Amino acid sequence: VNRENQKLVVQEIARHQSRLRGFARCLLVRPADVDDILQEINAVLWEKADEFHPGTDFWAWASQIVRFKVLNHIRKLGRERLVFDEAILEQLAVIATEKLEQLDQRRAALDHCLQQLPPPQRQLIDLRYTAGQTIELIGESIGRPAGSVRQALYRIRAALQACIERQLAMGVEPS
Amino acid sequence: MNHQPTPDERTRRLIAEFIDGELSATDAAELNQLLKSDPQQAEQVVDQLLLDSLLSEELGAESLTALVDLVADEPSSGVSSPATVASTGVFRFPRGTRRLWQSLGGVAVVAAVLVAFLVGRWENSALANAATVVRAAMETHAEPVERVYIVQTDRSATGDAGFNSPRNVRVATQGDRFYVEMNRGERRWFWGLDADGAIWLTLGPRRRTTPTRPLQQRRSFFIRQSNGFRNSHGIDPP
Repeated sequence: VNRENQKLVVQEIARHQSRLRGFARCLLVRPADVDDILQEINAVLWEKADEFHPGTDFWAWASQIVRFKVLNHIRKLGRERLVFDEAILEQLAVIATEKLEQLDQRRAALDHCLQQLPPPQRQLIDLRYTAGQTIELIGESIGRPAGSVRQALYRIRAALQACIERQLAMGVEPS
Repeated sequence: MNHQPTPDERTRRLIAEFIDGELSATDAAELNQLLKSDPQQAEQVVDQLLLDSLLSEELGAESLTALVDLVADEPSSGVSSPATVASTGVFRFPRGTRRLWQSLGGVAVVAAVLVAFLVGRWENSALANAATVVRAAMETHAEPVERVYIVQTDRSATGDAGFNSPRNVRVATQGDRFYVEMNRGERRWFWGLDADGAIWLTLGPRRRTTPTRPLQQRRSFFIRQSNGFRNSHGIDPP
């Protein structure tokens, strides 16, 4: 085993954790399964460290392995819960690989867009993501019906998405 | 008149349900069918899921990703060593972890004041100035005693009453060493700084990472398979 190569790959694995997690998510892996699958991804990349050529694009190399790994994982889960056609998942994988190359720009755009949210909308997003509450719990917390919370979150995310696209079109720089 | 959602709008709704963990088997089958009949919609699906992933990372629990980034960061990035954290508190973690440290920094100040008060070093609270309090806290923390702080944060984004988002953090310190246990709902993480100045952290229930050498020289670390590591933690013995 080439120790230097292994060190380099581990460093790159660490650097790409966001991308790897995002990739799994884009293939419709449920949130509860993402941590497990990320562990498997990290392990398989590490094991294949010798196949990586230093100086080449790590994401281009890793995304192929990860794609295979995630689809395999989904296939295994499929006995219980796979509902999405493999062709669809493959298509999502191709699009995700491409979009994840701009992840840092997307993150910077999101930071900007979050700052633009009016306080009540920011509160809802915080309850959902910072507190990790379900729609029902949020409804109870703020005294609104779950349907209303669901609708509000849907609109906020749509607004954030539109804002991110605008920022990307303006050429936002990674923060 | 009832508004009939377009296939595009319906797909967005179903993905939103998936994101919020509310997608039923029937809905999933419908989503599958929608994506099959119009492959162009796959792009917006990815956009929605990427946004969700980023929101979880940016706003969610203290980001392990950021900590891993720190471990693997090039020295040229200008990040100080974690030993500096413990001794001076002047330290810039990457994004997610920086937020944690901002929170913990506040907690540490409160805890330090409380400790100083409890051990009787704060002789006269009415006359104590900031320097006295900090000095007392530093002296107290220099003692070879392990301390555990249990911190519960009730965070309000807007200052409005009516909702809470509790997050429990347990911080154990001994000199410059520490470990942090973070709990939020069902999720639990541990990370810490060992006697050699190396950060370790759990990467899920069965694996942890440890730098191969102190972070002052952090260029690499290895992933160590550690079966049975579930929820275990600690400070390495000196």
